[in-house]
Amino acid sequence: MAVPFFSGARSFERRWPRIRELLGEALDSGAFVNGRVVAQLERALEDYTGAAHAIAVGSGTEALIVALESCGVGRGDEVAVPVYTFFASASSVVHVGAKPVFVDVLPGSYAIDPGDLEARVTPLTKAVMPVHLFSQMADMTAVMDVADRHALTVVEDSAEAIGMAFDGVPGGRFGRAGILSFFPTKTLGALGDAGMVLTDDDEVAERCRRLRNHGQVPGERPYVWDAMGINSRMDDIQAAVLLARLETLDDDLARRAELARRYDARLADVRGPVQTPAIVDERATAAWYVYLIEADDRDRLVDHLAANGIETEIYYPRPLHLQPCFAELGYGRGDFPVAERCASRAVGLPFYPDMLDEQVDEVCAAIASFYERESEPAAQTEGVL
Amino acid sequence: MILDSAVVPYYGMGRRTARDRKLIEATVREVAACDEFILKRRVAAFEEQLCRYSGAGGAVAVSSGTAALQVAFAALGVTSGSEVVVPAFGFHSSASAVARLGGTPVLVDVDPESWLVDAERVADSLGPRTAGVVAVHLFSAMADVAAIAAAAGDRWVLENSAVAIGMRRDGRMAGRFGNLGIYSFQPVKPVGGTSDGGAVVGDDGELVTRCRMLRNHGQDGVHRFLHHLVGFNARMDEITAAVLSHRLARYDGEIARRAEIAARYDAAFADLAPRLRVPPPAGHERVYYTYVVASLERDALERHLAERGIESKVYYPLPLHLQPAFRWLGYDEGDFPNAERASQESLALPLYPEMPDADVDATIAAVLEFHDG
Repeated sequence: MAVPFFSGARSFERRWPRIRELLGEALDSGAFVNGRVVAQLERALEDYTGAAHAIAVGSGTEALIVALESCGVGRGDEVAVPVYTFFASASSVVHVGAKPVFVDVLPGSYAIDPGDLEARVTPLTKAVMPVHLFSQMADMTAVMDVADRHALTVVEDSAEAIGMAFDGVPGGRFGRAGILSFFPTKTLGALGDAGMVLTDDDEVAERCRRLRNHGQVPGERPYVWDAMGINSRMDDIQAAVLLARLETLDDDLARRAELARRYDARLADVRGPVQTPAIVDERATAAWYVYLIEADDRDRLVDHLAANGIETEIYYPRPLHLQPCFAELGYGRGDFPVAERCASRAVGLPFYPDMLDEQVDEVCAAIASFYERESEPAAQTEGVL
Repeated sequence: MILDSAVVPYYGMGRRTARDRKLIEATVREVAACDEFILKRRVAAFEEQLCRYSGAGGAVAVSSGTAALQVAFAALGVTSGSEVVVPAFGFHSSASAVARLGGTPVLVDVDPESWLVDAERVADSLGPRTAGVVAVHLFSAMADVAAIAAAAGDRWVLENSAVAIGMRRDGRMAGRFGNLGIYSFQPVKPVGGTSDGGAVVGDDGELVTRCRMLRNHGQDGVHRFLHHLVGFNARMDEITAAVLSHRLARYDGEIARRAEIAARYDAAFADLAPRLRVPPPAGHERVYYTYVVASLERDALERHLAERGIESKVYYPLPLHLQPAFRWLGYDEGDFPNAERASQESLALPLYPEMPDADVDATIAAVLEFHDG
């Protein structure tokens, strides 16, 4: 039986009556972007996260662009960004005209290393973007401390962090602004791209609302532009799906935690160099978005799983400082040893609430068979000789 | 259910949506059932359909018309220090997208009658740092991009054909004259999606490939998480693509209905000049995204219609050089007199394919009544 990396089809079908009802509201209104269902989703996420403002946009990437720009980050500024993360954490910095300065991560949490951050701050550093990956948040106490001492604006790339918290504070709520991504495979996922900015700052929120809609001031005369904004409007179909799924998010989070425990238990029996994920800080509240293992011989393991019909995703095969598009920043191999090691070892296993227990077992059995096979050839060779 | 609140709505989105309600619901459900969400087979099929429809060698579906401009400018190499000639009358994105890449829009006035940019004015605005020119089509008419391209010499021309899909000049479709062209599929556009959407079209394989990478984080479509370019997230989703495929397929029939309504307006208002001027001859067959008149009493006419529940739109109340967003360019009132006049006179009347004849009659009656008074 094949195990896809992601599937949300079964739970979608289960939730269809509610989704259809919300979709109907959107269709009745005739407004397809930034319409009434989008507004409902914004209010619902304000309630869920406790943020004063949730501003819906077209994607997580655009949420970062809108958030950075609304916080006053622009030309001539440097922004400290962890080097082991999705591309958008750094591309968003470039898209507002600023320069990313990379910082190594900590093993285990895969989050920004506060010590390395401190070392890389320069007089031009305007902001820092901690990123919360996979299942747990960065050490936000330490990050906020460095930020306070160097007067850095904190914009959290909390794209994956819905449901996560640190010291009881939800992801996205430490910084001047935070963001959420609703990419389809996310913990709260749409059927296309969608994102959200979170902030308690009224001015930042107001700027976000302009920037996402061409620089148009809400409620003012149409086609008068106050800023050179972008078009980053969430569509109401995605909002309908998200609103329905938000209603069952806590159940989904519980199921994810259950699946993570099952993986942990099954992989503990595998005789092989597989490192299962751990929540490294007792102040961190986990939310299992990705179940990421580290493994020796990762690439061959991935091939073996693929040959058995099991899809995986390598988060991330290449740290940002080694991406061709950032070559001109002047970094080289060896500059970020922790990130480089993670990039050679980490792989995300199939993981989503619709996943069956037996599928977890199947993935783990396939991993076990890979390492068993690995230990065989030597013996066989001996026998032949 | 139709909830258009005005007596005579401008876009008629309630009517337009009611017609496709079942299709939209079925599409959402299908896409969810197959777990294929973004840039998959429905997007690829729509891109192929768009190539066939427009005649373009390549089409790259993106998340909006504005995103199409961003992607196209980046592909053409606009960067810090690039100067790009942009007409002073039009939607802001032609200029904003240049500026967001670090470039400087150099504004140019438009023709006093057509309100479109022309070759002579472009020629006069070229300088040593000019990287390229944006030719913008408006409302129902095309700029003469072939002539503009000739004037631009070896500089590139980006054709902002956001509103112009289906328009042809000398048998060639809008979007096909520049080095790259773009379309917008905003829900209210003639070919409108269920979300914002857009496309870049072009014949230059290398440019099209760059656009393809730029819309998806600079990835090449083969090696995941390998980023060659500092690209954008400007992807079209499968739901949008499926709905657009359906709507593009029936678009030619809608063009005819749009023309029918415009012809009725033309005939009814022919004698109102000079107080109200209907769209002048365009040098090609007009395709009506919007029906825009020039009125010497525009604001009063707009109020008169609004009082009767008839929605109209002002495209655009300010030319680009007088917009707050572009104050930094340093232009003043009086710098582009034709664009300024267009901003004072322009008024778009309701027009969409499902518009009932009675609504057309009501609009005509209200406009005539205003001019009788």
